[in-house]
Amino acid sequence: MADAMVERRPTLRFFCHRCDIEFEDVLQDYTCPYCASGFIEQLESEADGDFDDADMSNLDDDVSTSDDTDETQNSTQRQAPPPMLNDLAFLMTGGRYRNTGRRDTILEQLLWMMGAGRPGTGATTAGAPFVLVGAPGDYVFGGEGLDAVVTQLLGQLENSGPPPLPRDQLAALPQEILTEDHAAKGTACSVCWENFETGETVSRLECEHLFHSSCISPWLQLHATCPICRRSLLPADPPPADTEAITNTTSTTTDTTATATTQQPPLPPTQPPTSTASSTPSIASINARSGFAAALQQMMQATGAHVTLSGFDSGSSGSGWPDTSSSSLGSDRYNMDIDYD
Amino acid sequence: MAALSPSERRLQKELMSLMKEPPPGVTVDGDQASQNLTLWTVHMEGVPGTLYEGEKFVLQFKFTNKYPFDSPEVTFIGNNIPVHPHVYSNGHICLSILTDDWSPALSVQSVCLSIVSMLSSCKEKRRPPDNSFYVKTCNKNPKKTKWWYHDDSV
Repeated sequence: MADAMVERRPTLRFFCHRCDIEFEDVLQDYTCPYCASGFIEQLESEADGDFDDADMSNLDDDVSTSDDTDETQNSTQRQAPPPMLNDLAFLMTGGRYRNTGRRDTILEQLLWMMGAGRPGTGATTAGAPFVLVGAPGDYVFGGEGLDAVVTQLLGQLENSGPPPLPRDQLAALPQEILTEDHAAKGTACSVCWENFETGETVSRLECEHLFHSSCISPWLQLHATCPICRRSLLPADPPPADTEAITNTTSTTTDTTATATTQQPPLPPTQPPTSTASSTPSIASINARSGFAAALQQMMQATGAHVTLSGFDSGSSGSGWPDTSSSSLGSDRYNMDIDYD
Repeated sequence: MAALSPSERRLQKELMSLMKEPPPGVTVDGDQASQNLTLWTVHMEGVPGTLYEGEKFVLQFKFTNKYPFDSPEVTFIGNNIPVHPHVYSNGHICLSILTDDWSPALSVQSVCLSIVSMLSSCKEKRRPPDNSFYVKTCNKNPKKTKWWYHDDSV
């Protein structure tokens, strides 16, 4: 709780008449840490108990959607923001507002604090009001921000159900080109409901169910099951260790300098080739963090290899289906398909 | 007419199919759906010989542009919400294929059939035991509910 954190330090409190804001501690020269003006006042040492009301019963006006119909503030039961939000807001302001009629939102205050309104204070200020650590997007402001977080959490629940197919397995999904006699049967893909046509690229799952590759791939990125029979594409038990070891050995000892596979010790080994595997055997799918991806791209360009950074695989990029995974997996952007020429 | 997105193309195909060969007791408001492919109204009649015989219900389907990878949001609307252990009085339906067990091979028609079947197998008309609490606290979108599917009998 904010109370506990604040009470530990019996600091002096000041009020800046220019900013209309209370804060703890000042610079040695008694200036406001926000505006650096000297128009500040040391507040009477408030009774310790007074901090209890620092849990924002008086900040509500600034935090929540303020309706100015002045009901008697203390008596009415208003829909106060949840306690956590109060504490957060309290910590963010580094003090509490006086009800002086200022109606700045927390966000405005924050932006102002970050901007030029706070010259040269920074980390040197003891008890600096609020230091933004990390990206501003990681913070939550006000009730709507909290709603967004909750929605996002619920959105993750929404994605419950079978887990997705790992990217390397998805890349290794066998594909085939439809022949005339198959297309002639007049069957349709059960994802898009379009009839199969000769020459289309399709994927046949282990259960023999057939889909357009561009149709099944977005689904498998969400759930590794066959849409028709629900059979899982995930192995029931982990793959045998020796297969993995062999793959590792090959990839680390092969003496083709500057190939992708030799340069990625922390990454999962590329999918071991299967007999039925795709018609383009030289595709390696690599999940990489941005820095690594960029470095690798540079390197590959230098060696003349052909590199594409894409959402998923080049085969499905023209499918027209929305990217089902973009919202859930940030790392998708760094998936690389490397094609050696 | 503007080019249809893949999800709209699929919905268009489904609409044609559902209008042409609807399951018994099911009719889709084709005019409304063809004007807005992401919002369908489906009328459903209680199956003769079941507890819901003679009743008429209205279902609403909402689709996102991720359909059919994303399940439709399906609720009963109107003033006759079936009294059923898996149907909340706000129209939300506790049916696994609408969330966890959704598959892109399912369709409006198969969802309708599942709901008809769910109603028809009902032995006793009653609301879910947690109806009043759920209705008070739930999200407007039933897909935001973390359903706990535990009863396959009804």
